[in-house]
Amino acid sequence: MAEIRMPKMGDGMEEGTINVWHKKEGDMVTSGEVIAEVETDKANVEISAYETGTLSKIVVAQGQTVPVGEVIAILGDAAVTNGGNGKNGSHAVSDAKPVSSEGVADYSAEEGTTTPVVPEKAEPTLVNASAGTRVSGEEGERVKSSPLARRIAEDLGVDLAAISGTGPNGRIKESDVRAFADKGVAAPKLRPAVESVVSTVSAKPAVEVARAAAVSPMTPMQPVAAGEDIKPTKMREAIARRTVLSKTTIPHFYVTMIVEMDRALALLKELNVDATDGKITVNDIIVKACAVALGKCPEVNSTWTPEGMIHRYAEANIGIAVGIEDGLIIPVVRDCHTKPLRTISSDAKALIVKAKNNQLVPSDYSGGTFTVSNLGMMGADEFIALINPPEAAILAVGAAVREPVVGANDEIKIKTRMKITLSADHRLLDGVSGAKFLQEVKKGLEAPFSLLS
Amino acid sequence: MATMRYQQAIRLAMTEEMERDPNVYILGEEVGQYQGTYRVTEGMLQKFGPERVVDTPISEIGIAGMATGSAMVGLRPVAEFMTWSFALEAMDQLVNHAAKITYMSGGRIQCPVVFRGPAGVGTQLSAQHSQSMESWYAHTPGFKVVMPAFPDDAKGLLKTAIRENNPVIFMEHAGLYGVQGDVPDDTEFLVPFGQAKIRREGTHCTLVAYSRGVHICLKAAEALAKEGIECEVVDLRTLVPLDTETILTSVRKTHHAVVMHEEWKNVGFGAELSARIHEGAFDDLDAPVERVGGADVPMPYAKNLERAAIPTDADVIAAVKKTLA
Repeated sequence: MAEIRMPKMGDGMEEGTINVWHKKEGDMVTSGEVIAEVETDKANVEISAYETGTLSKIVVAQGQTVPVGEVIAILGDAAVTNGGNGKNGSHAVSDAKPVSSEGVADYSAEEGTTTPVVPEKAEPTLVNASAGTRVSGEEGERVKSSPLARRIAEDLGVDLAAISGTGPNGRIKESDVRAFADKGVAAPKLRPAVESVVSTVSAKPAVEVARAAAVSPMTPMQPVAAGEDIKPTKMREAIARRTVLSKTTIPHFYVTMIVEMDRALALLKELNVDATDGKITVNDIIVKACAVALGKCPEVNSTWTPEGMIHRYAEANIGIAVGIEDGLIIPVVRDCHTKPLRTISSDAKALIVKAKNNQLVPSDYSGGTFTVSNLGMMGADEFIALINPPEAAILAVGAAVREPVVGANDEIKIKTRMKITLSADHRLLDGVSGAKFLQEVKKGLEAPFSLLS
Repeated sequence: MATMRYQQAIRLAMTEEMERDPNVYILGEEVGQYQGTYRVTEGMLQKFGPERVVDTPISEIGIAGMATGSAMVGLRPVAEFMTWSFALEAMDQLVNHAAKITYMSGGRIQCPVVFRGPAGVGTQLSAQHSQSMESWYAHTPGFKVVMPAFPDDAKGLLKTAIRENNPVIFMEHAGLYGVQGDVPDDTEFLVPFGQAKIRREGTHCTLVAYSRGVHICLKAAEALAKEGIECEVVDLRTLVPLDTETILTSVRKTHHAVVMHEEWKNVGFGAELSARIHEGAFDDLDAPVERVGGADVPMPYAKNLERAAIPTDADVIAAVKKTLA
């Protein structure tokens, strides 16, 4: 007799949606066998059984979303048939209630082994309840808060989920609750998770800043005009959280530089002359140039830690923004500072294929220290990107365009030029250090043989 | 009221109680002719004679056994350990006999004995003589554990200890013997057990300490006040019985707490204090309780290492800032 719970498949994972059950109630399951596919905010992942037995109860139906740790199915002994019987002991499988509309299994108290879930209260202060806003303190989406903060929040009728915590690890303190109650908005303070780039743990407070800013709990929400409400995908929700966190907590500034790409393109042409298994791309050489530049400008390869320290990374792990259906994901090419161009290229290719097939695992998209986002192939001349927290900077790459350029002797020459724009965290970098980094990238791309050493 | 040193206040308490009650007597190594290693019993042999100020052989188990036995038959011994580190020799007499006899006799035998002497760390006495082991005794049912921080408490608490009908562990601090303070002349000045004292009022963070830790916390509180952080310093005075209510009342006001002692942090008395606060004031806490204690190593002899192993006001300040973060 075993409970199968929604597994945590990454630091940032807080809930998962059952995409499909590969088994039905009553089916025999052997240990290691795939029983379901779960959609997280980053990828679709298969869940395997850890034990052999009969799938005696599916608790969470296909399409339902539950927090990490919730029981999603019950695995009976091998001999036990569907529905269970007295041999199941106190574990009344057949009594397991169906999933409520919020996606939370509503266990009765006598279940014993599962935590009774407090029914979601009708909270007038809550915004957007249909999108899955949760009552604070509920299992699975734990809002870190001090006991005193919880008590005061209750007294004041403030929802903790709407508050951004400024204590250690984003813990909500008394002062956060009072600030929120006073102003309707908590003081934003960056608390990025240093070790996990795509983690949504750190993203949480920021989205709540946004929620709070959008609709103060004191003002009831106005009815919206006619139209269609679409529940965002997990990925869309994650992007929403991450971008709000980035733009609201990181003081961005931007520096743009033009890079002449003729020599780099000529080099790529030669490198790819005998290419059998995939060519080295413009993006690959840009990543390589960034890796070299990061080595020369370690201040760019750093983060502002929750403790207010500057942490300089030892490795250059460069994320590549990959657009996929309804969203984007940033797989990370690890140790770019030690890898030759061709290895970076093959690594990047493999990650992009996995990304497009929803096959990335958390280790593929976590631990980045810098990001490159390239919209050149989409015809964008230039653009500015949002920093991927907790990184210090991101490089936005435009299209390489042939254009007339005024030379040293006022002659007009045709050059292939590309605009690159660095978005940088002003806590860590200044205009000069940002420009210096771009100069290094530019130097590498305009003297591309230097990148082959 | 007279100004005197901590060490003199202890002598005064014993003198007054010996004058009041002929059953009170002193025993220990070098308490008589040598007048005490720290001069606590100075002049007492001359004043009360060798029957009531007894120099013993160098045998802690003998001292503890004699004290416990004589207490069981009606005397009120005040046994001195030259330091509490030497009391380890007497552990069986203390824990298995003195602390338990009242329970084991169904309450028919009382054991009104006081064991006293210097405890605490510092002054390069190294691993075997520089340690603070109060939690060993606080852990053992049957003992009252007393650790005064100031001269007036030293007098008032020791007098209460001598009149107490249960065994009392009275731990002085060698580093406090020279501390001066006003001490009431009143021969009936008694400080009750189980009543902590607020040494400094504050609103931001509660500091809980005892013995020399109180002085360290007061110093830290003074420094923090310059930064606008007001700490409330609770002097426990007795570890058993523990005045949990005063601690909790303070924490309910400040919502933050740092507990501090010189003994080893690991499984130290601070763990008990932290647990009591979490149990009793959980909903009032805005941050976890921080503990400050000694480094978990036998005390090094080298001065620089010793300094690193003993908690300081800087450690308390850091803990306060952490809990207020």
